[in-house]
Amino acid sequence: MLKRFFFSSVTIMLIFSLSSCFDIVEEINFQSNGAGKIKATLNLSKSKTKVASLMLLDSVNGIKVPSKTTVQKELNDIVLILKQTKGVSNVNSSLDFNNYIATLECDFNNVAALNAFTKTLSTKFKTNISGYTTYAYDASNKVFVRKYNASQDAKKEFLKLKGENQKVFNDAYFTSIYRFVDPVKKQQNSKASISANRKAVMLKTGILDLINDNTNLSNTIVLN
Amino acid sequence: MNTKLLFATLLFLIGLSQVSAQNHFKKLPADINFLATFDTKNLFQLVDTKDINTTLNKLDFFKKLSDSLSQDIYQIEDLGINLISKSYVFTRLADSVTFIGALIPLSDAKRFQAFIPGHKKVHVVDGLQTIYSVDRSIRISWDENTAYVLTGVVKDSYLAREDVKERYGLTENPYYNYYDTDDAVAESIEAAADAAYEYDYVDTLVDITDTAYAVFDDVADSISIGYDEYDVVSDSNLIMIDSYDDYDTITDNDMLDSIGYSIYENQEDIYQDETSMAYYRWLAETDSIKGVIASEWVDAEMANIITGHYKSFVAPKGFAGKSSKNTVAHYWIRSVDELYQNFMPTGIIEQAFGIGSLSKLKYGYEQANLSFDVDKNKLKLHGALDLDQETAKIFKKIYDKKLNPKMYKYLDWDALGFLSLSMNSEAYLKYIPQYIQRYYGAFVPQYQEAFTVGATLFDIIVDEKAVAKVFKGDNLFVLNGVTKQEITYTDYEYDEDYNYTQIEKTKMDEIPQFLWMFSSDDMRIFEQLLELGVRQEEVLLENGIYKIGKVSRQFSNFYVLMKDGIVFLGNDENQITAIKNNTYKPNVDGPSRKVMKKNRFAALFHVNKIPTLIADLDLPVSRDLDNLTSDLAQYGDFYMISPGMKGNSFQGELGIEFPKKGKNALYFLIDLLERVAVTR
Repeated sequence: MLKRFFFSSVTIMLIFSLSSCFDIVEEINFQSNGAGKIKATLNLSKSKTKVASLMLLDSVNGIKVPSKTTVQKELNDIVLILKQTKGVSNVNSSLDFNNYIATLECDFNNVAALNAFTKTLSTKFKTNISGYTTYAYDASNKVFVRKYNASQDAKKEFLKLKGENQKVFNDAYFTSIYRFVDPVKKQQNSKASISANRKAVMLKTGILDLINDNTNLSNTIVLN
Repeated sequence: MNTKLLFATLLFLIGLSQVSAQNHFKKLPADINFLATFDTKNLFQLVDTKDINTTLNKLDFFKKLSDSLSQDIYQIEDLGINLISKSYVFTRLADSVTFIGALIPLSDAKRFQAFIPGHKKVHVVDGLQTIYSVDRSIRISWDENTAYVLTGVVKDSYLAREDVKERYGLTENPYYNYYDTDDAVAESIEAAADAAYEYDYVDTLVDITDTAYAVFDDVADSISIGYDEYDVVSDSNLIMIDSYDDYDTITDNDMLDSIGYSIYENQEDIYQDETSMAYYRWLAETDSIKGVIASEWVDAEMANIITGHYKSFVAPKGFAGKSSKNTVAHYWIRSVDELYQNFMPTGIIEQAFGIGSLSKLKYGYEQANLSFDVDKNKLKLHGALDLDQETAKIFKKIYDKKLNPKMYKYLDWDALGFLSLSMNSEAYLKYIPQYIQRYYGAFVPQYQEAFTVGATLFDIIVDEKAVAKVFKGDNLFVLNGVTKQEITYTDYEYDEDYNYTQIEKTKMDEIPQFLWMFSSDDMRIFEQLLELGVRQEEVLLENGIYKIGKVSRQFSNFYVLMKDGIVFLGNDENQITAIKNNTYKPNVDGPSRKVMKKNRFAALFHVNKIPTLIADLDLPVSRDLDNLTSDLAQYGDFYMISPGMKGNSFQGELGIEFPKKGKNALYFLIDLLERVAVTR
């Protein structure tokens, strides 16, 4: 879900395009009742020298480079929106400008709160994030569903970048980890795998595969 | 083509003209303040007119000009401008008007006249053919040899004079009236609003109550009116009169409008609209009067220039207008201080800060000369600023110091560029308070004594000699190329249950390296600060080199070394270690060394190393910029230098070396212009 947000933000898109490699990690811990905790991490530390150099410039190739203040303000806006979202609590964020790592985490009462959050962000950033990804949890049958449609907005933004800037996405990855209290009986996404203790499902994919729709994040996870 | 465009085009063409320079030079008034000389003789020796014509044709310049003039123009010569003489642009500051004028030599007055748009009425003024702009603030007159262009800008300070206001019937800005009487107006409006409110409030309440009861009666009379409607009526009227709290609630309603509360706002809006209209009326009137004044003065000034009524300009001592064969333009300012004062909005500052006459503000800057030269493949702008005796004395003391020669050897041939600055910090600390006291004290005379006290206090507190030992004032900053260096980054490691831990990894990355050096005879303060850092575990001391790791993780660590009276600060551990062990054997950049040695200030960048740098850093460059980027590999240096004082003048030069492609730098620029035009 938060990955969608990251894509929707042109500012972050720019940093992505100008840094040679980065990681996005989405980690969700579910309780049996459907409540839980989500943590999203954007890690640009592998490209930190380049990001630091670029942030000294005002613009590169005609694209404005966001200042630290702008990035901080964007994150503050998101935190504010999250805090006002029904069913969302314990919102925390961090920005490490030494290593260029940003994190955002919060608790949610149920998956509806997560969906409400994406909807709110969609409105705020005038982009259809909620159209790309939704979550559902059937507590009685212990079935967790993630529906995902590739983001056309992200693809559009990506195509706007010059070829040289596109290639830097080659070394960028997205990782999603879902953890459950109960063991996972089965999951449907061929690119995802179940952990040894069967209580987590992980999917790691290249960002380019997501943009080009070669990887779909949709999954149905049935718990014991 | 309108006259302003014509004026602009003429100014451009000034750069393309040439005749017997001396005649035109004599027509310049003796008391001009600024003079720009365009030496087209030199220009066309550097670039052939044929080549200029070819380029301008490629850029459709003549086609566009022909279209707008309804005249066929195929080459520069068709414009009737004489291409064998110097042209001049000048300004003259009178009490009332700033005149801006130009003298353009003509080779063919008939051709030049054909260049005048057909619809323009040509007058004969002072015996010369003349055209005016619509507002008559620009005048162009011409005879067989010369086109005279003149415009004037009337000074606001002149218009503010009471006698001038009276003479021309100028009125006050209505906005001043508005703000001057603002409180009174606001009070009277408020009083009116209160009165209206009280009056209307009572009446309206009576009306509303009456209406409500009437409706209530109607309810009783007719069952067709529902209960809901009764509620609405009672809510919106009866609640209003219950309590003060309800009053607040009502302010959200439109109800207040009906009881006259909006009168205040409406009246203010109307007032502001009227004020705005009055302001625009005033502006139009004032502009019209300004136009009349300007045209009167322009005509009078032009007559004086044409008839030779003014004494001729005589180049003062130090005027560097007699250019070398490489100079294509020369600029001269009579007094930089005077220019400052003329363009500084003194009236506003004086009023805003309640300070005395700003005309006393003097930096000690006198005449300035600036030349624009084409020296083979190099374009350079070099000049000098003359200083008065006092200021020159101060500057000489400050810039009497050379760079520590021991630093030269640390400038490697492969460096991207460097910046060197040599000042005498003792002289700087000693004289700057005096300088501020002298010049800014005059700026605000009532605080003159305070400035004196401040300067003395500074002198007592700061021990210039002691500080100068710590930081002598000579600096060399070298930007070395990128080198591979190990950097740490954060990654994640997952166990079999997909729990992850944050781990620190390392990788080799290209990092720009720098080295900053400055001389110091007393390094105790640096040592003590670094030792403090060591105790706080922020700094590591290894083999006599201090390693600072937490200042900025992006560019690896910083290393500090103190050796041979020099403090070294850099981010390349190998280089610092080699300097420490006397094993650093750079390939010394001879030409750059000369530049450093000769100048008190020098900033030089090897432009040709940019493409390699971009490639090394793996910076994305768009295809559009590919050609231009690869061109950079053939450039020379971009530099700014100042040898400091020479006599009583402060010298400086800025230059860039273009690729040695064409005959000279101008040919390269022409080629670049064509290429850019083609890509667009």
